[in-house]
Order: sequence, then C-alpha cells, then structure tokens
Amino acid sequence: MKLKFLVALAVLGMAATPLTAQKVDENLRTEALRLKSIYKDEEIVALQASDTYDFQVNRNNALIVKEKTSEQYLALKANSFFTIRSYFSDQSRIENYSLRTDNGRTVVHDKYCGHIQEGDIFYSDAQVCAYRFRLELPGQSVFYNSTTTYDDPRYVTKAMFHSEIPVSDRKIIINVPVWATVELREINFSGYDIKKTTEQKNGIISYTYTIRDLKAYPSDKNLPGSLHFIPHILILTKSYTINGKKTTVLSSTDDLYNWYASLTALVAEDYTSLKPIVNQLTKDVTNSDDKIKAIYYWVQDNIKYIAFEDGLAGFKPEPAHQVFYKRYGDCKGMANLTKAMLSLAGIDARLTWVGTQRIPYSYEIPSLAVDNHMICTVFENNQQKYILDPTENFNPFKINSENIQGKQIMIENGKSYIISTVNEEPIEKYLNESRWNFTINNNVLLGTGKTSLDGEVKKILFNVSDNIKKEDLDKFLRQVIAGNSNPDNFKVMKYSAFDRDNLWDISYDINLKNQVYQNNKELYLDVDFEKDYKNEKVEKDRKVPYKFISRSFKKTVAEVEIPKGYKIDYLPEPYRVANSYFAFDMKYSLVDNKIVYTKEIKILKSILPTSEFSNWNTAIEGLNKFYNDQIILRSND
Amino acid sequence: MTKKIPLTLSLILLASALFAASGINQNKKRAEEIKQMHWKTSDKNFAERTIPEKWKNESAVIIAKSNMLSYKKEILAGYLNYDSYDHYRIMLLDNSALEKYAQFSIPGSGLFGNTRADMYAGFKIIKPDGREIEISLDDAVLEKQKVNDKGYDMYKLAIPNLQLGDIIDYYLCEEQNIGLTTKYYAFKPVIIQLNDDYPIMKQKISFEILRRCYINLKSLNGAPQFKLTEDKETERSYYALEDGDRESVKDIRWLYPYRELPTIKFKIIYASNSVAGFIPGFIGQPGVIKSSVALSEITDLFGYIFTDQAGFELRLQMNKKYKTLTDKNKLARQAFYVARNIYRTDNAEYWLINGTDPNPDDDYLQYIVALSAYYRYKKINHEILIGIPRQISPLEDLILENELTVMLKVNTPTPFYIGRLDNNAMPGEIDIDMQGITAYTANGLFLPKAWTLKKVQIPVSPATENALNTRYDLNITDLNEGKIEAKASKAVTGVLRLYPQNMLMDFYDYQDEENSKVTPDVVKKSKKTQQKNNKLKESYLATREDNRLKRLKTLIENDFELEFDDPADLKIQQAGRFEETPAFQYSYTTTFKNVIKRAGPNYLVDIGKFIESQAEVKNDEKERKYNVYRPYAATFSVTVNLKIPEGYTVQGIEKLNSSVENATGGFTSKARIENNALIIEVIKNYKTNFEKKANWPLMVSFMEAAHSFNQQQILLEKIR
Repeated sequence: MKLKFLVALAVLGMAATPLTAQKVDENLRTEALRLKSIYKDEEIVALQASDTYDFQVNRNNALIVKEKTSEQYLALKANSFFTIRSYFSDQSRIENYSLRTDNGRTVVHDKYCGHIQEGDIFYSDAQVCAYRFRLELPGQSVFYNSTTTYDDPRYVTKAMFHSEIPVSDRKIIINVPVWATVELREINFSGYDIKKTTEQKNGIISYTYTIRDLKAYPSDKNLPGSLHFIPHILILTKSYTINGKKTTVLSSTDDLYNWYASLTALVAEDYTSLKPIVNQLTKDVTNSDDKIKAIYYWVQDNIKYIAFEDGLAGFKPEPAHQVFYKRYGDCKGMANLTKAMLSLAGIDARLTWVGTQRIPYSYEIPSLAVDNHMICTVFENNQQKYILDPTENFNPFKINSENIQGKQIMIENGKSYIISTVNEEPIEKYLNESRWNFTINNNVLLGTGKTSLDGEVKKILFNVSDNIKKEDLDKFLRQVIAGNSNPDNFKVMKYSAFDRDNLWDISYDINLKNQVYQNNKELYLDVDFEKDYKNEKVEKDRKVPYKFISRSFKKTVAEVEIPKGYKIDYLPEPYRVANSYFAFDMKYSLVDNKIVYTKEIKILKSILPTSEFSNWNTAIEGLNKFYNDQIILRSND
Repeated sequence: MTKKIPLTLSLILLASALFAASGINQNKKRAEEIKQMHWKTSDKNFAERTIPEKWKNESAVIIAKSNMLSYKKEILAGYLNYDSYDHYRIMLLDNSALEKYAQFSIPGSGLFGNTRADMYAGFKIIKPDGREIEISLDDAVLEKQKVNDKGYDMYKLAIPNLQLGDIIDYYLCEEQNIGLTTKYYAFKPVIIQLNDDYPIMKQKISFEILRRCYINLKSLNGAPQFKLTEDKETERSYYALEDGDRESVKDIRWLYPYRELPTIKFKIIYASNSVAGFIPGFIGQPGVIKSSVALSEITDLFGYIFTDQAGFELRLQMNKKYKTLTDKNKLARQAFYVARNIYRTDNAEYWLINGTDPNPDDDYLQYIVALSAYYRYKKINHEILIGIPRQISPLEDLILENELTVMLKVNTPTPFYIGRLDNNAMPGEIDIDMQGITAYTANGLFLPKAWTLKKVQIPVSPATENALNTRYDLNITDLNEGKIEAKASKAVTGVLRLYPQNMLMDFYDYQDEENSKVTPDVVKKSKKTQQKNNKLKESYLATREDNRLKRLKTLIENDFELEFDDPADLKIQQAGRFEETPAFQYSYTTTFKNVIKRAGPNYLVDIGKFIESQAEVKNDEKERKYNVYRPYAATFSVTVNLKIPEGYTVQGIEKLNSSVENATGGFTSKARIENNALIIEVIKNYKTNFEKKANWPLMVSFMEAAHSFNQQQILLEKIR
C-alpha cells in the first residue's frame, strides 16, 4: 500500500524524454571524453557547482537566508539519466528553479515533489523536489539554477561540498552583511585542497571556498556518519543588528538551551492518567534503583518508537500522558514520559539532549546540528546518576547504549543546564562467549555448545528475536550460533528468557561433518566453524573510514577430546595482534587429553580510521593463515 | 493484505490504485453508512474474539476477512461504479505482527483521469477484555506526493494503544466512479490465493454484479464454489464464496501456488447490449457467472488475431531474398530467422546503443501470427498450439482470454516448434510455460473460422537440450595464500543459455554471423541520423568491455561461494543463435582465493567447491506437501582439471566418486589422475519439469549428493 519515494522516481524514469534537439559542442565533447577516462563508472559530472548563501533582511526586519544553487551538468555517456534533488521543509521553500540547455532552452524533465520517507522515521516535514532528465549524447550539458529561502537562519546549519556525482569546480560562497555575526567552522578539510578567499564589498563579507576535481560522495559500505569524514562548513548564525536593535539567533550554548527550554516549557502536561501505572510498578518497591528500573523497562517494553519530525514538533516533546495513551512516541515523547513517570515515583529525572555517535560535535557549538536525540537523566541528591534511553529496547539499566557512549549531553537544570558526558562502557560489558566441547567420532566433530551473550550483541539479537515470527525463532537462533557454518548442523536445546539484566544463554548440540579429514594415520582437524573476520580485509582502494556495527568482544573456548589411539602431531602456532583499535588472540594448547582452543577478538573502537587500514589488513592476513592451518593428530598404530 | 497477483498477460492489479487525494471518509453520510455496514454487521464471524487452540503459537490469526466487490452501471448513467470493501479482523500474537499492524498508509480520495475515487477507512482495537477502542483518522498525517503536478497523497496512520493479544478490526474501501467514453470497459483480471501469511478462521469473497456487467470466474484447487446469496439486511443478492480454517502458507521451492493451493480467478467486463456480441473475448450473460469456455469462443477470439493480412514485411522479404529456396524444411526455418531479424535483430543495435530493452515481451504474438500467415501462404503444414501457461491453470480451467498463450509446430519433414520470440531464439524451442501441458491444436493452413480444435499433449524438452557444460582448468599459483588460477570454458544450450547470452553478448558479437545467415535489408539512413548513431555507438563501445566484465563477475558470484579476483579474458566463441551452432560458448580467467588449508607439510584443497554451488535442501524442506514444479528439465556437467603441483601427490580421490541416479534425475561424480592432473567429471540432471510429491525424496537424494560433493576436499601430500 505504501507508495515509496523511489517508486515515484521510477515513474519519472518511465516518462523522461531525452534532450535530442541540442547540438553537441565539440569542446564539451572533448571534455566529456577526458572526464570519462578519469571517472570510469560515472555517467554525468558537474563541470561547475556552486551554492551561494545570501544572508538578507526581509520585510519584517528579520534575518533570512537565500541559498542559490547553480550547476552545470555534462553527460559522459550516451543516454544518461540524472535526477537533481532539492530539499526543503516547513522552515524553507523553493522559490524557483530552472533547467536549461547552453542555448537557453528549457530542458524537458519530469518533476516529483513530496515528503521523504527515510529509515524508521514515520513522518517528517522534510520534502524533496526531484527533477529528472535524460541526456542522449556524451558532451551534452544542462544548466540548473534554484533558489531556496530559509525564513529562520537557525535551520541553516551546514554546507557540504560533496554531491552524488563528481564536480570539476565546486564553490561554496557565503555572503554575510557586516551587521550580522555568522561564524563559519571548517570541518574535515584536512586532505582536501579547499581554497578560501574573503572579500568585503558594499557592506557584505564574502567567503568563497573552492575545490577542484571533487569525487562523488563515497558509495562504500559500512560508512560512519558522513560528518565524521566529509569536509563541510558549519554555519553558526549568532546575531544581527538592524536599526540599532540586536537580535540573537544562536550565539552561545545558553541560547541553544534557552530555545530548547522555551519549547519544553510549552508542553501541557497532565500526569493524572500516569498515576495508576506508576503506583502499580512501584508498589512494594522501596529501593529507588528498583523503581527506576521498573519504570525504565516498562517504557522500553510498552511504548513503541515511532518517529515524527514535524516542524517545531521535531524539537518539542509530546505530553507524557498522550504518549502513554497512544503507546507510541518518538525519542522526545518517550524521554518525557520516562521523566514524568519517574517524577511521580519521587525520582529526580530530567530531559537530556544528545547527539548520537553519527554526529561528531560537542555542545560548545551553538547549533541545531549538534544533537539529534533526547534521553532522560536521573539525579540523586542533585548529582547525576543514571542515563536512560527508553528508545533502546532491551538496553539494561545502568548500561549506556553504544550510540551515545562518549558523547556530550545537555541536561535540563531549571533555568540553566548541565553539560556532561556519557561514560563509555568497558569492553568486558560486550562479552559474547561460546564454549564448545567436542569428541571425534567417525571423522565427525560431535559436541555441545553454550553461547552466552551480553552487551550490544545481546540487545540487537533480543530486538530481532522479539520482532520475528514465533515460528522463525529456532531457525534464527541456529543462524546466530552457526557463524559461517550451516545452521542445519546445530540443534538448539534451550535458551534463557529475554532478560536484560542477565546473560542470554543458548545451549545446543553440534554435528559437523566437514571439520575432520582423515589421511591414513593422520586426522586433520579444523575446530573453528565460525571463523570470525576471515577474509574481511578492507578494500585496497577504500578512502573513507570503516564503521563496525558496534564495539565487540568475542571469546570462544573449545575443547576437543583426543580420540583413543591418537596423539597430537602438530598444533598451529598461536596468533596475537593488539593495538588500540582491535585485538586478536588465538591459540591451541594441550590440557590433559584435550586440545583447548581459545579465541579472543576485540573490536575496541567502532570506527576504523583510514590510517589503520594497513594494520587491519595485515592482521586479517595473519588471521586467515591461522584459520587455514590445521591441527594434525596421528594414530599410534 | 490479500494476495492478488496479476495474470501473466495482464500488468496491473485491479485494486489499490492511487488517486489524486483530497481525504478519507470525506462524505460523512456515506462514511457513516460504510461504518455501519462493517461494524454493525450481523455477521457473527466479525464478532468472534477467540482463536482455536492450534493457532495460539502463530504470529497472528485472521479471525475474519471479507472482500466485497461491486460492479454496476445505472440506467442512462455515463459512468460505471466499481466499489471494493475489504474488512479484516486479526488477532495479533507476537511483536512482528504488532509491528506490521502498527502503521497504515492509505491513499486519499480524488480524481485520477476519468475516475473519481472515494476512500473510506475505519480502525478499531478490541482489547482482550472486550473493550473496543475506535481509532480516529484525525491523527493521520498527510504525505504529499506530486508527479509532474499530479497529486498522489497518502495518509499515514499510527495505531495507538496496540498490545499483544489485541484484535485489530479495520476496513479499507474504495468507491470508484469511472467515466465511460465507450460502451465497453474491462477490469484487469485477478487471481487470488485463499491462503494468507497468517491462518484464516473465516473468509468471504463476494461479488455484486448488476446491469450489463459480465463476470468470468472460477474456483480452483478445491476452493469453494461461489453461491448466489440473498442478503436480507440489504435485500440485495450476491455471489459469495465462504471459506475457513486455512493454514498459513510459506514460500516453497518449486511450487506453482495457483496449481496446488485453493485459488479463484476472475474478470469483470462492462459492455452495453449493442457491443456485447462483438467483443473479442469470453463473455457470458450479464450478471451471471461464466465458468467455462466453448471451443467456438476460442476460435472466434482467434479470428480477430490470425488473418491473412498479417506479416506483410516477412512475406515481402522472403519473396525478395529467398525466391529460389523450395525445400520446405529450409524455407520454414529461414522464415523463422527472417522474422527474428525483422522483429528483433534488425533493431538490436539501435536498442543497444540507446539503452532500451532488446526483448520487450508484448509483441510475441505478432511474430507468431506473421509466421503462421507466411506458412499458410506457402502451404507449409503447421499447427497453432493454444494453451495456458503451466504456472496458471490446466486447460480445462480456462475462463479468461488473456491467460492463453500460443506457439507453433511446423510439420515439415523435420518438424519443429516455435516458442516465444527472443533475439536469441531458435527454431525447435518449446516455450517452457507450455512444456508438458495439454493444449488445443488447430490446423494453421486454415483461418480460425475453419478450425476444429483438438487436444494435444505438448512434450517436455529433455534434460539434454537444456545443458550447461563447464570445464575449469585449475592451476595452483600459491599454496600458502590458497590461490588457484582458473580458466573457465562454458557451453550452454536451450533455455539455460538465455541468461548468460543476455548478460555477456551483444549485437556486435553476432552481427557478422547474422548478416551471413539472413541477407540484410539495407535501409539508407540520413547523414544526421548516421552521425548521431556513430556518437551513440562510440559512447557504448567506450565502456562495453568494462561493463560486461562486471556482469561476468555477477555470473561468477552466482556460481561460487568463493572469493575471486576480477575476471579477465572474456571471449565469446559461439553465439548460440542458429540450429547448427546451438550452444552459447564463452571462456574467461580468474583467480580463486582462500581455497587451500595447510595441514603440516600437506595442503587440503576445497576441490568440491569447483563444481559450482549446489542447491541445498534444508531440513525443513525435506517433508513436502505439494507436487514439484521445476521450470524445465536440465543437465549440468562440470569437468575440473587440476594440475598437481610438483612435489605433491593427491590423496582422497576415492571420496570424489559417487553416484545417485533415479527416475527424477541424478548426480554422478568420477575422479582420476591423468598426466599429472586430477580430473573430476560430474554430471547432475533434473529429468523432468514436474514430479509428484511422492517422488520428492528421490530428488532430495541426488540434490543432497551434489551438495555434499561441494564440501569435499582433497589432500596434496608432500612427497617425502
């Protein structure tokens, strides 16, 4: 029933008619051939692309921003389609746009305008206009111009250089009148040859940033949030003075908090309907930690996360009683309900703003771009005690979820606020441990296993298990424990309840036919059927950091009983490597009549920077070598 | 939520079109009537609040489901009314079901072309204690969408207060007012399976068909029959099917659900009295279900399609270029190639450089008709074979004209079939959709009005005709790194060749061969067109090799679960487009990685992987309730030639010899050492395109043998 955005674009694709009448300029054709040899996989490039941000005053003497986009596209290949996307929202509007050939004719194109459906956001005021056109011959070119107006400069937060296609000459121009204070911060410029010039003319300071031959936005998998590595300019509009009157926009962290607080103050709360549930949850509970836990878990379990990002509602929480009634809410609504219920239970709970790990900024930057999430902080005797994120289903009490660890938070504190930091959890809290006990019977590795999960992995698996059909759970558990092996070789015997506070234990039987190879008197034995990270080298031409799903700590201990009449002929050498990003430690030993295999793999940081790629790839080569080396048992006969 | 899937020859679903929006439940009076109709119904099934014990562990249970369709044309009205009312009552038993029903997207009312559509919807939750909570649509958010200034608005509703054990009871209705510009309107045909993702306690499908509307409808595979029912509340009569106690059905390998599971198919037509008699199609009495088709109706229908006027261009070219050819065997075949050239190859270069699909599926009938007209003209004996694709229905269940498919059998001294048109098609290929079915045959020397249709059994192409022969010459380049250099040579015939041909071969590969076999028709193009085409060609050729190596990489990824370097040296040795050279042959090189493990001084090689990935039968697939419908019979053979590295001997060859052969197919592998190389020959075949479910264990036995071979290793033992 859902008409997806992409479907609508596909409709455009059906209808687009080519730009046929246009002659091809020989110079452009030559340029297209030159660029095709550089950008082999691209169909279209921008010869030039500029965004000009003009800070202006409107009729009401308020500061507004007009963003003028001017781009020239060049086809490198015959029959190239391209879709220009121009974004707007309730706070901005597209004033005009044009698509013309180099002789000024309007280019036939299809147009789609509508709301954007993205990820798990149920509704957002973000909209896009997409213009799709076709260039029939290489060397044909199209000029695009568009103007978007922002009535509130708070919403103009950053300017990005990259686009989905390469750009030969990329400019960002920011024109600021002398009566306005706008700070520009240059982020991730290192490694990019971005030239900056500043000039003042007629009371306008123009900042011009230029970069040449910029490649397209990377399409690699496992990318961290783009703000971590893509060059961009943070635009901080602080204040402006018109007719002697100074108006503050966001000049400091205080301003940011005051604006947020002015919105939360508008929330019309009525806690009456919450009292019965809070009483029920805290009845007979005397310990305040237990009360907090009961309420925190109730919100996690009973309120479904449905994200609305609608104008100011994108910043203002929904009243707690409404979230309670609907049984759904976004992060702000869920944080607000948690605060309300805790307050009713006599706990000091406060709304807290945070930018998740996708955002690399801290609160010294006064910008709406600094955060994207709301949680709840519990205080005791005016001291910060626990951080609660009720959107994180199955997150244990007292454990900070991965996506906010190490991040600054802004906590409400009456008329003021507190800036604090979310503690990082020690790697031991991420332990995912498996113990296998094997015997060898007719060249089959038979055994039992028990896997105990904790940390982010447990949370993720609980969420998946909880959201798949009941009948599919057994199959899913077998996939979890089988690693790279065939799930049909495993039989789940039992698993413990979905309990946030304890390890998740899965016990199973194992029957592996292809791990033992007999060669006359010798048995070659491969104990590890999981082979974590085997072959997982980073591609040699990757230029952007690699993001793991989360930090992780995997430990495996396997014991294999040496069959009667056999002794060890060869045990592979141990393999160890450790640095501040990852650690691999694997070895075999002989204990009594058993081979004991231990494997510890730690991913200590969730983002692997490009500078570490060479170390990582060398480590994976060592790991492959270790995995490919077999134990040899020899018959005594 | 109903599984409605279009028939092969139709494109779009009947229901859930999107309309320029202006709201839901806009006409308050009508909205209230519709609400009463669904929620104040005397239908006890929609009052039920309990589910059977046997379904307690399901994700959700459909307590009741009703799909009501109404088609009517009021006297003198210039429009047609089409209304659909879908009503569901579902108990939600796990979080996946909660997730699924927590959000709805509903298209808004509005105008779309000449159709006015009004949308009505209602949602309520029934708590386990019986409390009913109606959900207000006021909370729905509007998502605007405009394509070229035409609006397609969607309303999104999040269902509040939804918990495990709740029942969600909702209706989604659409009342369409279709402006009529002709005296005829055909709705798209629909085929519905009665099973759903969740088990169903009770379901009802009903039709109300009034003035001048015709319905063709049939219940299949044990689906209950429709009965004429009087609704005392509304004093109207309906055709209704009542059904219940249906288990949920999952996706199953090699199952054609419409052949095995309870299904209904139907089509509605509006036609005025004056045109009803002239419509090319199967049409019965207005308001009365038509569930069978007379032979005369089929010949009448084909009377509109098969005419002597068809295929003028084919006749012209044949007369011009092959005047002296009199051998009917050769002439009939040459006509096929010329027709292929006219309808496909002649445009292939233009389509290629313009990036257009070279094999559109919508004109195959015209070349069948053209060839038949030519054969009739040349008095070449041929049959026209008319059937229903085997995935849809057997012939006796025919009720819709657009489920029919057509093929020719040319009865020259060496007879041959002509199946579907494809740029790489050859004479003698039987359409896989028609293999093994019973079809009607008509004498192609006559026009349809003189036909006497008889039933005939279409053969199944033997497994040897759809064959993939592969040879891998392997050379170990680095024992410690586990690298093996491979040279692959492939020869593919029959239906199996179409996919690699389309992936790897283009017009420029077979242009010369085509011109040598089919005298080209030279049409002079203008200088301007020529110049433009040259530029397009130059642009295409600039990336041709890179692009086809990328596609080759995709093919290799499909064949292997191994890491490999980007392939190189792709060569197409034979195009596989003519009867004398039926195989598509190509070769390439690559290097496979991480296929060798060390065991002290010796090495274990994952040799089993080189026969390419074999289908695995999962434990939960081993028991089978349904017959097995394979798309075709096929043979896959692989020869692996591994050069034994100097200083090593091969151990474990005996494990590479195996054989499981039975009536359904087989897998046999043989290994030997020859000239310091390990040579493995495997052959796997599926002998038929259909097996009774009782034979499934036989198929499993050889599929398991093949999959198990995938796991085999050999030992390279160091000579001491």
